Amino acid sequence: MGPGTLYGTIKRLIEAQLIEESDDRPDPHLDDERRRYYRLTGVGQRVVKAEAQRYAEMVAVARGKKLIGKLASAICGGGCQ
Amino acid sequence: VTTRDESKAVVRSQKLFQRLLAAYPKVHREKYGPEMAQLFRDQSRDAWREARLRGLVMLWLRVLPDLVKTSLLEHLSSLKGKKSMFDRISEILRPRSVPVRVFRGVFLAVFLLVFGGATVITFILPETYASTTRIKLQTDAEAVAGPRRTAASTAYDPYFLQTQFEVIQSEKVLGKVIEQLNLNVVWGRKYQNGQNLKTIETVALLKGRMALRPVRNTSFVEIRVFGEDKDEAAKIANAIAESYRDQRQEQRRAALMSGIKPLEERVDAQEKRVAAAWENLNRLRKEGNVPDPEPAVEELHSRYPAYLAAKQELEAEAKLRTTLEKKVAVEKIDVDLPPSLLVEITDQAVPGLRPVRPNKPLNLVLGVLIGGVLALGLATVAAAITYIVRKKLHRQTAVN
Repeated sequence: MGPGTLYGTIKRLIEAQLIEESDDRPDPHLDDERRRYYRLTGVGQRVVKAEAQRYAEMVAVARGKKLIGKLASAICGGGCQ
Repeated sequence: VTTRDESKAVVRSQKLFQRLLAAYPKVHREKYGPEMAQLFRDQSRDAWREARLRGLVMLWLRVLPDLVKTSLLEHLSSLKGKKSMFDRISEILRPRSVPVRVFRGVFLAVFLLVFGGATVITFILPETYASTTRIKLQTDAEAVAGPRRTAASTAYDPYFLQTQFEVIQSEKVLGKVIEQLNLNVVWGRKYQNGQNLKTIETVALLKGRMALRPVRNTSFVEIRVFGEDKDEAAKIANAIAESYRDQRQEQRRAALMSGIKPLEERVDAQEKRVAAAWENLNRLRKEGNVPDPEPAVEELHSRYPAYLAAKQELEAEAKLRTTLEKKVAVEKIDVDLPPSLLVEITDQAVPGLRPVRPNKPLNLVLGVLIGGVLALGLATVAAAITYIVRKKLHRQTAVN
């Protein structure tokens, strides 16, 4: 991921109040003072869960329609399980 | 390739990237520029470590399009205020934003439910017609001819109308209507699977379907009858008026007759007294040899005083009998007063042209009004709850 995409995304996530900068830092020997730490907000956690649920449902639908099997065999060319 | 070469290539690469950061908007650059440069520096070192110059070239081939694309996006975002997905989420969760969608949704749902319900009920309800008969009421005293009216007989009776309303609704009056229109059978067929109703049940049904209303400041009364059958309603209204009129007439006749009977007995007794006086006079005439034709009063007074006294008694008794007979005749005139003087049916009921219930326009207007008010209230409450919940979420987010 390029720096532009990463920090553009971070900016929007902060504006959307899905993440926020954290003051918690790891042990000093693992840390770098230039680093910034971000964490999910309460809303962010709920959005992530909802999004994961949505993906799970999409996968379930795709499985139901046997799309995943076909796709996998097309990608693998029948050579993978 | 030495470490020196590495640092030269990496440093040049980093310097170039830092210059290219100028492509981003100033605000973005000031806030994230150092971090972006730091990330690129780390990525450059990693790329060099992995594949030397080729790694750096590959990195630049990825970073350059990314830089062009994201710098353009940032400019567009800051210039046009274009809302990204995150912006939209942020807006939804912002507590200050009024939940217009919630308000609109709840308002429409409640309004359509109430108005739709009112419309459906209005069109499902059976239609009811009303027929009205107007009658003019007079008290018994008012119905008597003018010269015989006395102050006592025309005294105001504050309970007259209420009393007459009770008479109209009495089983005596309504029973005749039921009998005349055969309502026990007709309504039994309609409402009791063909089994005849008892008169008391039909009376109760009939009372529920009629309304009596005095016309303000007049002696008129409206008898209103409701029914699903407009012809039947009109017939019943007219029949009630006629039955009540007959009832009043009958009642009055019975009351007067009960007063005339002793008077007639008195006339009979007086007749006997007159006959006895006549016989006494004849006897005295024969015994005293009173000439025929009779002499003048002066002579009767001097020569036949007993006969004269009997004659004067007969005249007095006959006069009293005549008076009594006149009294009976006058009372009988009252008995035979036309019934219209007591109760006059001024307007006959006719079948209603259109149903009075349900009142479709009124129901629909009420549906709109009540639906509107209810929808407004509930939508406001729903919007307020949504706003409070969002505010709470916002606070939680801030705390986290």
